[in-house]
Amino acid sequence: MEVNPRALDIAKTLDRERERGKSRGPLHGIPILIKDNIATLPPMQTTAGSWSLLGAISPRNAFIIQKLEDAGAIVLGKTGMSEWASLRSRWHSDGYSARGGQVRNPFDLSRNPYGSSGGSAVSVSANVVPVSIGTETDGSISGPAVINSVVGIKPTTGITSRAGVIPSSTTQDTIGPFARTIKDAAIVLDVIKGVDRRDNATTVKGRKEEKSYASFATGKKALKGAKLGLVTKRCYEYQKPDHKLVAEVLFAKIRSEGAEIVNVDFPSAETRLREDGWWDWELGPVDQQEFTVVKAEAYGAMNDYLSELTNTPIKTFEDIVQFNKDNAGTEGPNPGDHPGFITGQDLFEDIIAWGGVKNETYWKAKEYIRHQTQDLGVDAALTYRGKKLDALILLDMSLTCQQIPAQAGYPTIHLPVGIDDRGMPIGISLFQTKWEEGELIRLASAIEDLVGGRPKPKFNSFLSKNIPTKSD
Amino acid sequence: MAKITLRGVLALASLLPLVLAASRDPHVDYRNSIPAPFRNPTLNGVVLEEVTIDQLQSYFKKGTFTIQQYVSYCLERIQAVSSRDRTSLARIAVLISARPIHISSP
Repeated sequence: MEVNPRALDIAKTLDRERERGKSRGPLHGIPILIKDNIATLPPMQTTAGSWSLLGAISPRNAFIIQKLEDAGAIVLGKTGMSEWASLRSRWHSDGYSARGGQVRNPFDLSRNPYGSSGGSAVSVSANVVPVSIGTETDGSISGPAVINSVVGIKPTTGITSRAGVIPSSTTQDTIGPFARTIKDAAIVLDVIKGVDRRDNATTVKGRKEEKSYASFATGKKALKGAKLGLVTKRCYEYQKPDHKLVAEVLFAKIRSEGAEIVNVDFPSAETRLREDGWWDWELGPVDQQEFTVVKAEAYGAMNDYLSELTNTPIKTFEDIVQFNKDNAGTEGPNPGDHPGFITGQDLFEDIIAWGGVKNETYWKAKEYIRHQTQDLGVDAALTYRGKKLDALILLDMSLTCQQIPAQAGYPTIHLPVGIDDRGMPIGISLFQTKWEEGELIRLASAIEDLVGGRPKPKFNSFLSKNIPTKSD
Repeated sequence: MAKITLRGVLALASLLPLVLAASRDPHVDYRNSIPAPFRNPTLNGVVLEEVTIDQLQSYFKKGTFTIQQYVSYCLERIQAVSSRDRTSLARIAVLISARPIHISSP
């Protein structure tokens, strides 16, 4: 979307430091691309892909940007994303934004890169940069990771500070890395993790942070004696046959290394996951819907974010919606105005109609979802015949099942394992309970070693310009 | 001394494609399989596809290339794969005339 005009100057400084024998650590001199909803000081902008925030100045770098710069990483620029992190249109072309254009899948440029962190995942997959940063509310790291053949880590909400990140949900939002190897992703996580007084989620009681996530990276021998739960009901049973074939071969290899894979279920599968296997954050009555929590939180959080900006007429959520109406040609405010924004800005309109009220319905939904996705979700599935499993393992290309840890605020890790009948990537996912990123990194790196290299992009249909992209 | 039989020769010959396949460089195979504008160039003779952080640190340390050189490389890579640039006529011409390339081993 844009590159950092100071990148080469910063590189020069870091070269000089190195000449003097100084290293700031493993990220010293490593270029990194950042999703455009994470605030960077001028000369770089932060717009969530929207023209409405062009020229707006953030009061400070986001917490994680400061951490990266202090560690010697070079913020090379901002990546294309689904505009406003998929918060504006129920149906949109994933990876499309007015300012960034269409992000495309590097395996087939006519196809969906998933969102909303598509550009960050694609830049790593296409060997533009070694590592990048994405954000997730529900599926925005997991989806781009598995469909673009890269590693993605979605940390527990509260491991990485959201301060300075254009928000969706204070309950669910989290920041995480993309990389081509588990170890590289863990190295980045080690830098961006941390307690920040500007984000309450990082100061909660019981928060557990590992000193070095990278040190958990290991080889396939770690699979000996491991016990994994394959989540079946409304999860594995709904995956495509050619995807399952790849997974079965992998599972057999995992077993031959001495690990056990048992079938488990989320007890809440029938209430929290759709019967037809589709992703849906408006499932059930209003006081049980994920979107109830998101819409109630997004309004106030967005207004707080906008209130700190200068050099922009956009001060409130309503200003964004009005900007889109005033610029219908590029911003697609109504269904049919723009192929990138198929249903216009219907989610934004719902958010404004709700008005940020945290009433009984909101609290009921929040409590209900927590219980269903933590106690009766990930935690229950991790308990097998009275004993704790080492992790849950999933094939979840429809991104339905990761809705459970997304709503729970629990960590997930995703790694590429093969390609399907159409030559598109397949990734598997591992889930654990909160603060157990270390365990996920250990097991995922063992499986990565077993797989022995990720499928690399083919750049098929490279002249494609279709919007929306194909997503069947 | 073992007798050389026809069956033995045939068995050995049947292994030949496997031996040949194993001797080919998967990196060259991959490069030749993708459209030319998307191929990662080498930097000071180093293949950078799938490069890891540890490998980059070792290249910086050895002086194989500087941080500045690598940052320039990444900036050029952004231009090469960015959608707007790729539609330029020059790039498409390169693409159409592109033939498989051969890299000699270092």
